[in-house]
Amino acid sequence: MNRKKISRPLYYQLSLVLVFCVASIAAISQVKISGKVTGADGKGVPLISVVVSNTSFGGVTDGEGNYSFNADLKPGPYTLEFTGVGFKSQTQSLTVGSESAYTANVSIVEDALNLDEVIITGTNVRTTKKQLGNSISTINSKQLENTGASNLTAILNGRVMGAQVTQNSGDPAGGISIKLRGVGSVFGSSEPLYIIDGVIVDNSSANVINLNADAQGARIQTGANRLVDINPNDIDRIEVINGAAAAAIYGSRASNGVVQIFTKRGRVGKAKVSLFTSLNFNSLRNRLEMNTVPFRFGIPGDARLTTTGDRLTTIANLTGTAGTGPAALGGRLIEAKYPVTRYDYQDDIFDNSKGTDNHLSVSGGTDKGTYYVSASYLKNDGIIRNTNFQRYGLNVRGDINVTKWAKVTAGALYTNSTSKDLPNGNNFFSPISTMTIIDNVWNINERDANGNLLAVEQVRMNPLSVIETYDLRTETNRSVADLKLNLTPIRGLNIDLTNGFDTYSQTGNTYQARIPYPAVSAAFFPDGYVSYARYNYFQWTFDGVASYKFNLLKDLQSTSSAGYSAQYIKTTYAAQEGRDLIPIVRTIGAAQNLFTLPVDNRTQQSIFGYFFQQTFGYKNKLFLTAAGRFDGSSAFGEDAQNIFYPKASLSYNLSDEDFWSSSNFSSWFNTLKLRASYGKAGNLTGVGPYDRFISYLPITYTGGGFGPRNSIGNEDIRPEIKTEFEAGADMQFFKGRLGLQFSLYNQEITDLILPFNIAASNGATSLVDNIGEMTNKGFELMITGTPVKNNDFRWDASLLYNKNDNEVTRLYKNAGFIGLDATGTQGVLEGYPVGVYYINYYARNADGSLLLRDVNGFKLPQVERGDAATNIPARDANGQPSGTPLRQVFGDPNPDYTATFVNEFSYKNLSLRIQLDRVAGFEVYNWDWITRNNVGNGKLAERELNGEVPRGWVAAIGGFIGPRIQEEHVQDGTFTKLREVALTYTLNKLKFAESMKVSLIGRNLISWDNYVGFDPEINASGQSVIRGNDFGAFPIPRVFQISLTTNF
Amino acid sequence: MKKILNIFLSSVLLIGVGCKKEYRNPNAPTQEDVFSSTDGMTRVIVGIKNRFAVNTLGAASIYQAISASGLSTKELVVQNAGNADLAQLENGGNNLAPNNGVIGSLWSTTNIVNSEAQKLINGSANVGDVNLKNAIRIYGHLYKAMALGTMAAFWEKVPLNNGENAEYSTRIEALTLAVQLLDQASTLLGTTTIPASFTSQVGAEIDLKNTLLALSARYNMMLLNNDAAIAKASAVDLTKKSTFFYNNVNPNPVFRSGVTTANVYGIRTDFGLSGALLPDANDKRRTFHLVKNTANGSGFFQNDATAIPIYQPGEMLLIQAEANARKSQLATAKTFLDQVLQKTAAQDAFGVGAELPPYSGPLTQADLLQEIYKNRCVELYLSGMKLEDSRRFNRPAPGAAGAERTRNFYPYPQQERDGNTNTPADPAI
Repeated sequence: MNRKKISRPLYYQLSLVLVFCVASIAAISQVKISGKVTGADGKGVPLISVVVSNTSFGGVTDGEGNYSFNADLKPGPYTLEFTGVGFKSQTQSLTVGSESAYTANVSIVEDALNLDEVIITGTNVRTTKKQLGNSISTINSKQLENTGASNLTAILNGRVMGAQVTQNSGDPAGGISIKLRGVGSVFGSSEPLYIIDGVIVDNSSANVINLNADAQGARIQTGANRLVDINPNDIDRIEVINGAAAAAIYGSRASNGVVQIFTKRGRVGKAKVSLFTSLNFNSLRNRLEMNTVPFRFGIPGDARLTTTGDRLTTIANLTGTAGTGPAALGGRLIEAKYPVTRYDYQDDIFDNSKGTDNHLSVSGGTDKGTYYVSASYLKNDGIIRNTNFQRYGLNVRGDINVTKWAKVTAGALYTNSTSKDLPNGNNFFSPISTMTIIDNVWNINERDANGNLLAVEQVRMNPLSVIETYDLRTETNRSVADLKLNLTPIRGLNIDLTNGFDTYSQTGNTYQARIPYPAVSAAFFPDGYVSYARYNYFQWTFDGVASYKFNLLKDLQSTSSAGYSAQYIKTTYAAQEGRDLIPIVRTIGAAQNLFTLPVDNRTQQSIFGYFFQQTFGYKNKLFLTAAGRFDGSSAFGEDAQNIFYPKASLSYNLSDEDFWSSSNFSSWFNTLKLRASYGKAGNLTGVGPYDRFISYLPITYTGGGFGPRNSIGNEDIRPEIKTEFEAGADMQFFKGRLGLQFSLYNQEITDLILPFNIAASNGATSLVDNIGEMTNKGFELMITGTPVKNNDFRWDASLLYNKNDNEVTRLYKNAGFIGLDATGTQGVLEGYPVGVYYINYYARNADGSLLLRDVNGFKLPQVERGDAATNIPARDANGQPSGTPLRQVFGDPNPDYTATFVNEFSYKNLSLRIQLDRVAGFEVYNWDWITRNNVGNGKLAERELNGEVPRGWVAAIGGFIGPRIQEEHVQDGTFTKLREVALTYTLNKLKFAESMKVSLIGRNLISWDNYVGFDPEINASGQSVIRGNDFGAFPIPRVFQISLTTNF
Repeated sequence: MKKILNIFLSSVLLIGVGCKKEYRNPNAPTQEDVFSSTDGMTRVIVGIKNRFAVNTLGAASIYQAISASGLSTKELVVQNAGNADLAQLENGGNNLAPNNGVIGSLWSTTNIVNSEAQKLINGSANVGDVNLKNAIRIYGHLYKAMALGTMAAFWEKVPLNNGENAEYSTRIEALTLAVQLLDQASTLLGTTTIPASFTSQVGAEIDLKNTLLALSARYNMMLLNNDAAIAKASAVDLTKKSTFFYNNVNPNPVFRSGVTTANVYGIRTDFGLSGALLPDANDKRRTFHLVKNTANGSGFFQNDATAIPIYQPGEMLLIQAEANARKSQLATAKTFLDQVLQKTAAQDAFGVGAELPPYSGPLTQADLLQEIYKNRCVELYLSGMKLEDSRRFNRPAPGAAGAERTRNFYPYPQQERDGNTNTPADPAI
């Protein structure tokens, strides 16, 4: 038999690995069970799994809907379970007697809501959506296909209720952040917990490059989020639970929700080989409009405009003045203009680029065990020249049925990811920022006789210096492995033991060449800069869950679970920076000036918890679950460990009641499930392992010292507690053609942790402490429908809508505004969402028009002033603003709602999928806009040159004639994006292959927005809590991809 | 079957590993670690010195004192109008907002120095060895006095001791306490043999004996205690140097974060002086302070490694000149002034020498004081003392004709006011 030929060597290998667990198998009579599964149309349904209940025997239907497997069963009554994605599960009883072969044919019906979909997330006991009192989103492998996204995180976009997925950067190695139901923490991460095959995996973004880049104190986390190491082609399904309900099972680490990822595994049957290959083409989607007026204010100093007087002519008159400071600015701005050539630097910075993604997998198995192996290679070049991302991956998984009651599954995933980067935003030596901070009047392509680039504006850098001579690299080696033992020693008892680890080593090297031209600010490292950094991460997960399911009464089923989980996390981080480089060498050895101390930082942390959960199910329609959990983390003091977190949930499948089926509406209103849940969770990773201590920094000064820090800890700090209530319903109409799911939720976060500014007379300036309360209230809705469906043509549509209101409801200790970034532009203010822009604004007349003031004969805008204590504006005798500049809230970076509208059309073997995303009601702080106009390359500067606004208008807004009017810099980011269009054609039963699929996919094709920048979605702070920060971030490219999937 | 059981059991045993509930931080000591041993406290002395002198853990006291005083008294000029905080100081008056970053960090770092120095004083009580006990206490006194003296140069009221809702005292009380602390330390030093190993650990580049005297002279002068100022200043051995030292890792903050960037601030021509105060064209101190190297460095800010003096010999001479002049001992005052004017670079411990003829102006108190002030402006250029000097010598105040400074005193930082109900009212100017 073919099957044995293929399975033997693998079985042999797995046996070697797991030799210790091979046990003798009691010989019981072997029977063959086979049959056919058909749909409502009478056609066979493929990929339906058939399992003998409470045993490990089973199989999967083939392309015609037929299945067949052998099982070692004692004579007696059994139940066969038929389950499959998109279908209602079905059971059929089977009595094993003396015969050796049995046939069971069933017909199954479609289920748009997948209420009978088997869910693993939430309990290790397999359960169905039907039983859950909380909302859960699932993404199956079919939905994972036909997407041009190479980062797993991007795939969740538009497929998960309550999720806001943001691509923070268009860098091929850039990151993506996800928030489930809004911001859950400010000091800690707001990202959900990621679990791959039962093992918790890290998704952080360590900075191993860009060590010198955060000029703004914006807590940048700009690299890739580490889920980029996981190849989406290896994913079988994803389950997402949004709220604190997840935490009752996964522990408090899941207080921001949990994303559980299951990788592909082999299926019983002959070996299947699948090959995926694709090519993608990237280009800049949106070009900035730059100043095109061929004049400039001022008097040219020299032909190359390199004198002091040629700086910043939009905002300052620097000609013939000794200093260049505000004293000079106080003078009249030059109104004279001189002719210049204006350039569009975008031509020099951006380039079209290509990429490729390849994946090969082999899988198969027998009733004794299955296997899945895959290898992959991805390379993608960025649209900013000299950037790329590359990933090699290897994935192995085996499932073995050791005995009738014991299963072992083991898997390992290895990835090598490398990237070539350039400095991200938040400084003036990134590719975008170097272009933003100079007027577009210099020919940046000019070179001297030696081929060296020439200087541009004094102090600044030529953008091409960054692109051509910088060399930034990262390399990550990662492996995630798991070993899971599943025991079903007696009927109804299920024990799962999972051991696994996630470990990676991430190295970053930065080389910024010496700048060959003079007068570049020392802050931009004109003498060259080099750094290396290494981050090692190790996380070990243990989970043990036992559950027992039995019928308490005839109609009352009881499931009891108890479990223990523990994680141990160890990190090491080492880094060194240097400047003043000798030539040729590009590593740290080139540095003649090691201006920072070598960094060697190690942490260890343990997180532990145990839980008990009890579910009662009444007639398979009413389910009540209650659970309790104790959790602790070594990051907190002894008194704050072992906190009790309760949970309760209720699910009522009203449509299973007799009155429903006998009613006349049941013909079109088929399913109604009501659900409600309540849960509490503490954020165990809300503070770093040692943040609670007052610690001194070891310094190299004199004979070595302990430096007192500005920030101190509180040893009695407690975990942030999130209490969440959610209620919702799942409905199905017209025989599954229309589905409607919604949830309402209310999260209350108490003891919110923040670094709180204290009076320096305390002896420190900030204290990390429990400082406030925050809520997230929201509404999630998903409508799925199939408006048209006939033999050849099918139209599926879905609408996802998530609304979330975040508010910091209380700050303890009378805390006022707490700035999150160093500039204090955005932060936390009682009564407002996290990250509000609390800023200076225009002084206005009573009728709302701008209150202008006379500056050298020009009427210019100015900031509102008044009494800072009361925030009430004041006017002097002349009716002009007086007092200190006042601040007000102007927007925040959290969207009011996000929505995704997907339409999928299929005609025979051709299908078309169109995804539209809308993110509405959020604001971006447009630093680049300020800079572009201040230096003269922006469109407002152009208007001033054209005389459409008075001379000095830009300077007045930009903060050079009076304080900066920040209100003008906050811009609406609302956008609707044509996120993805995928056209797919499938060919079946070819001579050389079982099937072949060709896809043409476009991503990020069009954005409808009013934002004056590359893209309102990007965030220069990356995955940081600082959002809406547009300071030189890489724009997201438009991508066209052609892919070919062949199944052999 | 047995083997499966073994897996199960070993898994359960592994749980034990994850159960450790407390991990010590291998990267940094806690406050308890630090103040429970002599060695820990010795290293905090270095840490405090670092906070006062180096920008590693936040803007250093000396950096922001030089920056703020320099910008408020026209010693420095802002290089990029985009540096709003610096521009506020340069423009002064109502432009200086309480949330100004420069005065904010000057305030916070100096308060931290005060707080940590007090912890040293308190912690020294638990040290057994009397020499070490005294040594730690002396350094505690020194840095607390420096913190109080620095704050008193910029604010009208100062918290003498740190804590929640700290109470404020007048700057006179702060300076008085600073003088007491320094004089007590001097007395204590007389009866203490500081172990050589201790000195080398905390830094021999600070000559303790003379620094205590020099600072006492400085703060007595600020208090206009003329006799005490003369007594202390005259006791200082002018051949000895006391400095904050720098290197690549601990760079000279005024050089690295200030002048070399060409984008923060720079020195002014003629020390920012004009009119009657315009220094003589032949004044050799012009060369010392005003000639910039290719990295924009000059004076005590030539490069990353240039040491900044804690006091200069010239200051001690000028204190004696000033105190005598204030006492109307004009002839004596002139002798000290002439010592400064005639001093050659070679004669000065730091190479600061005017090499000018002796004072030949009218021998009146007012004229002498003006010449002394002018020489302080030149000799002690960018030492962070000019705002205090400008006030003490009654130079034209902000708003007055020919104003030479843009503020008299600074407003209290916003963060201080938000967190301390005892924060006094801001000065009008």
